[in-house]
Amino acid sequence: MFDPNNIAALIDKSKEESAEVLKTNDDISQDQERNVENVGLTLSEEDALKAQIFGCWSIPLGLPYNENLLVRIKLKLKPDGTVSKTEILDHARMNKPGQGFYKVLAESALRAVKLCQPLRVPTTGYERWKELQLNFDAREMLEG
Amino acid sequence: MIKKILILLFILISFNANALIEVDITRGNLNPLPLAVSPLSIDEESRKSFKKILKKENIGSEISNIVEKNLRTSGLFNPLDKKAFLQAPDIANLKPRFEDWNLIKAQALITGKVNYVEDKLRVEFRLWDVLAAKEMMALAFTTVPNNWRRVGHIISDKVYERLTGEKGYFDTRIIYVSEEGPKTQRIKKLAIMDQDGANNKFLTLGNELVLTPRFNPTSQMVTYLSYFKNMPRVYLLDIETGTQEVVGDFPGMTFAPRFSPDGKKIIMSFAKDGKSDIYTMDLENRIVEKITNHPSIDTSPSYSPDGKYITFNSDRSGYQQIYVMKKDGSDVKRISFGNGLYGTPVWSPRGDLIAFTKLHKGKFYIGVMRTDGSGERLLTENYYQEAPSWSPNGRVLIFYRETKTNSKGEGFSAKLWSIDLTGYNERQIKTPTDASDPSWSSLLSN
Amino acid sequence: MRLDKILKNTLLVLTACLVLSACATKKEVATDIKGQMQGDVYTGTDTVEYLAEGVPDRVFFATNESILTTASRETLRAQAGWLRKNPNINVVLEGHADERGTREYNLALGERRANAAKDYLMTYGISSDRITVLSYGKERPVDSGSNPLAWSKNRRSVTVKAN
Repeated sequence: MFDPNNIAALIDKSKEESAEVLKTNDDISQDQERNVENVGLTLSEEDALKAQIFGCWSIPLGLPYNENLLVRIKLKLKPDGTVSKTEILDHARMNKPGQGFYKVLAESALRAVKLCQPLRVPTTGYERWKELQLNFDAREMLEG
Repeated sequence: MIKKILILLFILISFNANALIEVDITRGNLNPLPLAVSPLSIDEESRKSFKKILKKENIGSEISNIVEKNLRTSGLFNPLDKKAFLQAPDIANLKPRFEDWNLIKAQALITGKVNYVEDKLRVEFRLWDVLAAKEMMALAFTTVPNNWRRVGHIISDKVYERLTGEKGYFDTRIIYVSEEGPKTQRIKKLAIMDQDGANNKFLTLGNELVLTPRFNPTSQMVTYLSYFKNMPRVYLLDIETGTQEVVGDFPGMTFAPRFSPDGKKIIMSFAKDGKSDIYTMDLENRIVEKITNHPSIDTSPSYSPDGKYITFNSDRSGYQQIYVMKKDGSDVKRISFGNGLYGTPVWSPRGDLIAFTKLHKGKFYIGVMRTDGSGERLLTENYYQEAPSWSPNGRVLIFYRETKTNSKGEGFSAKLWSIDLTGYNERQIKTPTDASDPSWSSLLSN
Repeated sequence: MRLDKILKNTLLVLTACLVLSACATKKEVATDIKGQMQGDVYTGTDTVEYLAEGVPDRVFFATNESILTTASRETLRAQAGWLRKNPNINVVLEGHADERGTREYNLALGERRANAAKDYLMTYGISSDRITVLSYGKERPVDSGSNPLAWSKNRRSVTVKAN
């Protein structure tokens, strides 16, 4: 749960971040929220990781863009960024009939993680990110 | 400022601060998936046997080539250059060395082998996930040697389905109108070919004008328009037996035929006294029903895949537009409202989209819209093109396009083209003659 | 005398251009100057054949239209007269469209055009038993060009002797 001892640190951090966001992009409120949500990684840390995975992920091009397909993968990481364990959070959905697209997307996400190893993780703060959840969502790309 | 901090605090509290760090991956590369199609291995004895029967030096490589070409043509896969392959086909099929395939950046691998077994062609193949280092699928077929091309198409369909989550469209055929001669005296014949252009065959001799052939759901029958004895009428042709018959006994021109999704009816237009209405005829009991009754031109009808609705085009508003109605002709609704004229609506086999031809400011477009008319997307623009037909999985449209062969607009050529629903991957399908009015069959095997 | 008329037409067209300043291309102007089109209805005689002296075999239509022009009615009255004089002759009215339309719609449009001609012949006393209507849509153009003049020649209903 919420740790009141950390409030001060968090406020400071949010100040920094909100300032940074305002500087670059103050009209997109959604981004601000997301930045706040991911307090575990700084913006630049998150960007580095995202950029790496973007490059590794071959989006299955046949997927329907109008279906709600989100694959959530939980990773256990070693300090050097190699992946010691991957877990698909809705694993039961993988082998359900009629979920062929979900399975295809999940497999592509797993391939992306494998291909990207070792992940570009921060050099410090292993405790923060030794477990990481990646949410793979291809809709934006397939629509465009 | 304080207010702002408070708001931020509130947001922070509403999330669990100790929660797992989540990173949203919303971008990736849209390049076709790199994969390796290792040639199907073949033992020397089998190779010699097939060489004798099929006149092909190495039938294993031939089948692999078909798979490779199909996957490449789909635009979704990038089969890698065979020269870079490190592992021999027979060993790869037993146990791929995934590091080797990883090294050349293959994410999937297809291996297999071919045997000559009691005068038959036996093919087994496997699909591997190179990065996960595991087998995704393994299948074997036995068939007569002459079916070797179809084996290649079926393997392609299975791989496509396993890697995309939807059925393929490779083991299919296209029926179309072959065209030759000057525009003023064009000779047209019905022709049929495999989806990749192989096995082209003419079904009529060209003595009379033929137009708009369309398959029935099992792809054994074709309905089309023929000017036999200078009477434009809808005909039915059995591809296997070659028998032909006129559909219905109408006192005038019938045209624009299509099958109902259950294959039991033909829906078409009948033109009389300056107006064209839509009719159906039941092929079993020959009962004819009038579906539309309007002084306008109602034509190009096409059923929804569940058979409950019909889309068609009509100029009842003054211009050619697309409409949808219930199968009995009630509840007619106009769905096209953009600028220009709209024609040739065809319901997608998935049921969610209608493909059409649009004419606007001297250009022809192939596009799709939802069945309520929303979400119009134009996929391709050209001087002249029309008549989209869906691949059985609803991913690809085939149509025909006429282009000028010289700047004075004198010569012209008509060819078949296909394009993905995404508007990408436009390509010409080679035909021995000029071609128009393509219709895509269903999957021949399932 | 002919020249007079052409000059007059040209002047009219030029005036129209000046007033409307909407003559899209030079080509269109040139076409009109030749006096082969009025609006977009073909008025020339290039492709016209004769069923008998003074009886042209075809009438022309505007884009997407099946309305008979004054000139078309004159032609059809001549055809009706010729048919009355030759009661043993039956005819086929072949309706056509230009290439700027979808195939199936154009088949229907050709039928509508030929039918407009048939209706007119009937009002001049020709029995419908003597007339068959047939549409070729855009399948049998008389001019294979792809320009407004060629299209105007192709939008037609042609009366052909059936026996």
